[in-house]
Amino acid sequence: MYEQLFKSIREKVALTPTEMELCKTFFIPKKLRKKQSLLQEGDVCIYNAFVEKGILRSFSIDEKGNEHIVQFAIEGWWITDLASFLTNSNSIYTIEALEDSELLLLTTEARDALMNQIPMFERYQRLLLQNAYIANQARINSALTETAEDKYLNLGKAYPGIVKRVPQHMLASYLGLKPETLSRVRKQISKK
Amino acid sequence: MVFLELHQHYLCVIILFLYCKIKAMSNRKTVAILNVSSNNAILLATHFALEHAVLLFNTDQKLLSRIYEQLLLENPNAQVEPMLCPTNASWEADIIVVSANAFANESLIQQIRKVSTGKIVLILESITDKKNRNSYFEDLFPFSKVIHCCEEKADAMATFSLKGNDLQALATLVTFFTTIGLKINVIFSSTINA
Repeated sequence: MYEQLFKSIREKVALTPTEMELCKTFFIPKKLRKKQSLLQEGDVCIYNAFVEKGILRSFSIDEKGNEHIVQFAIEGWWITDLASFLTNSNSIYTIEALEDSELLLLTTEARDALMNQIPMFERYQRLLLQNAYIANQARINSALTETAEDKYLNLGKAYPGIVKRVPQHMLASYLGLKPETLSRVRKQISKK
Repeated sequence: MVFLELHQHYLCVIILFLYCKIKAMSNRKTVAILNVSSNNAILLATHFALEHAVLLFNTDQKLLSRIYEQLLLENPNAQVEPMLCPTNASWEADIIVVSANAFANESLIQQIRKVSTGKIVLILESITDKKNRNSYFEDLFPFSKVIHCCEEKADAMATFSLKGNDLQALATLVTFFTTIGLKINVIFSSTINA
């Protein structure tokens, strides 16, 4: 139940066996079915979710009813609406499972208590946030400068697991493309 | 309607604050109802299923089927599902409701303990249950938020008493019960965790 979590933690920091056992007591194990929501737009985000198994997406809906996917999360990834989670404000995002998923949920209080009791966990969280910030900057740059073809190819190189598991229209939404544009791009790539 | 029996005035303010905060969150929850007697299961499942998803489990599969069919007869739109496994039901659930008597079954405890960390575990006790085992369930579920629930009789006029030492969990259940029209009393244990 905690294999992916400790694998993720070990990649960045070292915890003692005692700390690992203590860590388990702060996380809420939660199973989500496909299409079930962890967070709905308008609610306050009370969990930071770690994906042990499955895949989730975070998306918003504009006034025309179009979905805009901001993030996917596969095994070993975290997903939340950080602004809502940290400030108790209403979320503009919905977080939904794309497959039957197994999550480990951390509330704000549990996260603070965990970081107080296991200082290495705070370091782990800091390193995660640093990497997330770097990834976000790269994504903004990609959105502003890359061609549709480059966006798709780079996504496939960086996250092949996501490209294989996510429906094409969702990939298009994530890349900021129309589904027909992505379809044309994929045809062009396959001809080369 | 909520009757609060409180030892100190400031606790009333805290729980009302948490109640309002939780009500504002309006998250739909999944509730697992495990090995609860027929009348209790139907009463709670009927009410909970109005707004939340309910997963039913009983070691007696025939009783489970009977309860499930009766629920659907009374409310065809009820969001209720029978489950074959208490672990999966509890794993999916945000709130786990169990009859106190069900804990004679050691294997049931083992099956739900690992997936109940951080969750509200609501122990349904009969008013005739005179055993003083306030800490028994807390010891069984040291990392869960154990709340004791006692009701006089299983019908819509019953008043449920909620007792526990976790304010957040109590406030969540106050919201839960009152939103679906059930009456409750809240009793704080002597050790308070906010």
